[in-house]
Amino acid sequence: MTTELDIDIINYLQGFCSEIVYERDEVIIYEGHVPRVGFVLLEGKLEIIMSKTKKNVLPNNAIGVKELASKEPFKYTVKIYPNTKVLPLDRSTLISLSKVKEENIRNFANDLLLSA
Amino acid sequence: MSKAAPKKCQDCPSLMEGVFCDLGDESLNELSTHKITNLYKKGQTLFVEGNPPFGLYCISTGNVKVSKLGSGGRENIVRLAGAGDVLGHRSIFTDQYYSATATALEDTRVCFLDKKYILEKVSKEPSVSKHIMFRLGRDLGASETKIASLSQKSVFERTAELLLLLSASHSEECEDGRKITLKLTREEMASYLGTSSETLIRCLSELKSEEVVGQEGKNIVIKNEEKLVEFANLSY
Repeated sequence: MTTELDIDIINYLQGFCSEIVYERDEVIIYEGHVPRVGFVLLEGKLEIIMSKTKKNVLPNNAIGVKELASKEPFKYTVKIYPNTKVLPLDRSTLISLSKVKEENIRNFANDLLLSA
Repeated sequence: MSKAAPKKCQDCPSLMEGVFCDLGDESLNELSTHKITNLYKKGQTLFVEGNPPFGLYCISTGNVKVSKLGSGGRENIVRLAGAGDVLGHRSIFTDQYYSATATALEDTRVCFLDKKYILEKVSKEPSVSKHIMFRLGRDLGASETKIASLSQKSVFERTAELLLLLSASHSEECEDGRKITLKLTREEMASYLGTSSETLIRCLSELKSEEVVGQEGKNIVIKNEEKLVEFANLSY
């Protein structure tokens, strides 16, 4: 469901991608949809809704990234709340990360893309 | 995503109405591998006003309402988008957060292309830029017309104008005239016109009593388009 990321990878991604803050709550991934973008939660609240249960994503965890890489539909709905800071990872970004000099970052991206 | 969804852009029923209509097979194949396609059910949002843009949405089938939230939480529909239309493009090019919310009005199949990819495509394929600019120009013209209508026309005239717009974009021939196929609630129609449901219903009743429009189940039927044009008081 979620992937915990090493702090080194988080720090790199913060320099590589732009952090964004959501102003309004929004369903960012609908159950049955392929995520348009994966997210790394930095601060705030990301909620996974499955049937009648809800579970929060922990900070420094990524969600939707595996499914984005493999183009597999997500099994849950994910809602983001106001003032939540995330790093968005779209498909182009994953492809760019798979070509960087830093081995750990390349491996992170390639593991996702090649598992697709 | 249903099995019936075309995987290749070449097989999209709206290809020729969309911004990628002039691309060759090689470019379309590349597009097909990069796009993310999802089926949005009625009421599901593609994006929300005030949130950051991630890319371009191309509507393959179905219809979407684009709305802004007014004071008191009241929804104002500012645009209707259908097959072949794109959404989210303004925010990508202006680097601003979404200025409106896009919500599916029915089962709507939408293809998504991320921002980085679409910006590269626009710079490499002039036809894509041309078609996006065409849409921006068309939408700007429609917005200007709507602003003028809101300030200069009565609700009755604007109702007639909306029915003509829907007749042109979302209708089919029927026994009594043209049946509007886009299912909008009275509240949604009133929201688009900037009026209350009660006022809209009064206008529709008046049009019905003039036998300009009728009803076939839940669908509005335009029986006398000529008269409707007259009532809309079009300046062009």
